[in-house]
Amino acid sequence: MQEEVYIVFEQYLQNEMTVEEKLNFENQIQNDTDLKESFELYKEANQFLKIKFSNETVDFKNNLSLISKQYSSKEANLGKTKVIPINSKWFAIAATIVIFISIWFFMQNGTPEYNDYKEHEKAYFTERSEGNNTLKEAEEAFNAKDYQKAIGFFEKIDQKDFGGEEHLFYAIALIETNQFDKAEVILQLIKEGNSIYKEKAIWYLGLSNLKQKKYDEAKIILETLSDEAEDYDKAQEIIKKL
Amino acid sequence: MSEKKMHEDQLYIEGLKNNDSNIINTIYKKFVPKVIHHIKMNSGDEDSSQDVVQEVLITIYKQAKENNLELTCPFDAYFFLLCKRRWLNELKKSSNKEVTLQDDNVSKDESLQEMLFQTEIFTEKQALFEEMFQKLGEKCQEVLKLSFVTKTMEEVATKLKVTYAYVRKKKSLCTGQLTKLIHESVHYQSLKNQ
Repeated sequence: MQEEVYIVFEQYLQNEMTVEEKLNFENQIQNDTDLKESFELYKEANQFLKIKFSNETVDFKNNLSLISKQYSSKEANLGKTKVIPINSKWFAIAATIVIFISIWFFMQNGTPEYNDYKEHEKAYFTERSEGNNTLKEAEEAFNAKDYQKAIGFFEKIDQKDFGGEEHLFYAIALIETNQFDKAEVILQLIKEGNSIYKEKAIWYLGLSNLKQKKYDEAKIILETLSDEAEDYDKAQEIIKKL
Repeated sequence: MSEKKMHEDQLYIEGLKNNDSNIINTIYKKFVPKVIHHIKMNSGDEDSSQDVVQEVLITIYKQAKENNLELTCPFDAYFFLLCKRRWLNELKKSSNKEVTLQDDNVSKDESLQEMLFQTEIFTEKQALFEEMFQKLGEKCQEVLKLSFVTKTMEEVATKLKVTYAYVRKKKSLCTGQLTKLIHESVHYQSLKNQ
């Protein structure tokens, strides 16, 4: 197979031919089964590479491994609770004590404050392209609670490295530095998307409002958090206090 | 295939294709525990079973992206059998002994068999394409990778410090070389005849 053929295939696939060239090529393929076969294979190889390297596939794999981790740890935890039998009477007594302590605790407490809930998770970003130090620097600044510096790095990151996870941490840094409008736009976008950070985005939208002392808004938002969300219990606690 | 009725479980295929976390979560809740249990009962552990599940889901995702995978049978059986067979292959690879493959003649569902067959051919093709990609020279691999990761070919040319025309030509020739390697492989000839 001559090299020119591949160049023609590529031009056809990239839609870089004139109408006439295109028709010519299609005719040629109809009449030449060998040519047709190698074009089909070229197309298939092109498709294979496209899917192999696309950012969408990288996102899908990351999402999958995160979800898979959640379930394998859930499974492990379930296993543990089954192994350690708790006498139900003692369990009931312990639970009652916990309930009384928490009622007492929340009677002592007045309005909830943002500062009570600002224990953020540490950021661990996955590098998607080589030689990207900005992502690493943003991660380090964030984990060192130097949010202003982290924002500087976030804003320098290449768009293709900026996935759901990075957006979420960027928004948290914005809330920390009181740039609420900007933070809420980003969180709103995450909330409306399909990413696994959806519930996290709702939680932080609530916290953003809490920090601004917009209690009614905070309450309304936090009430939309699904009962399977990691932050559900904390959200319920805030709602009750408000 | 197209005259067959699409199964309502197609929603799982679409969910995977669109990276929809809700659907993926549902798959993990509804269908994965059975697979994990099966693998654990057959000399696997938690990690290896999670790996099998992920590999199968990635295959379905890729097949859906590439060929518009249309499900004509229940997702449960399709997914479970794909995982089961994949695990059997793993066992065969790691032990030199022949593992007795108790085949799934429990199911006489034709659509299911056809779906499994299509996905297995797709998996083999992916493996073959990947193997041949690894055989390409370093430069070709780099150009191809960059052409699909980077937005425009102009950017690729800048990154590689070559001209736009060169990088365009190189991309077609490298893809061409890949197709040639695939075409010449014995495995491709046998896949083609199936």
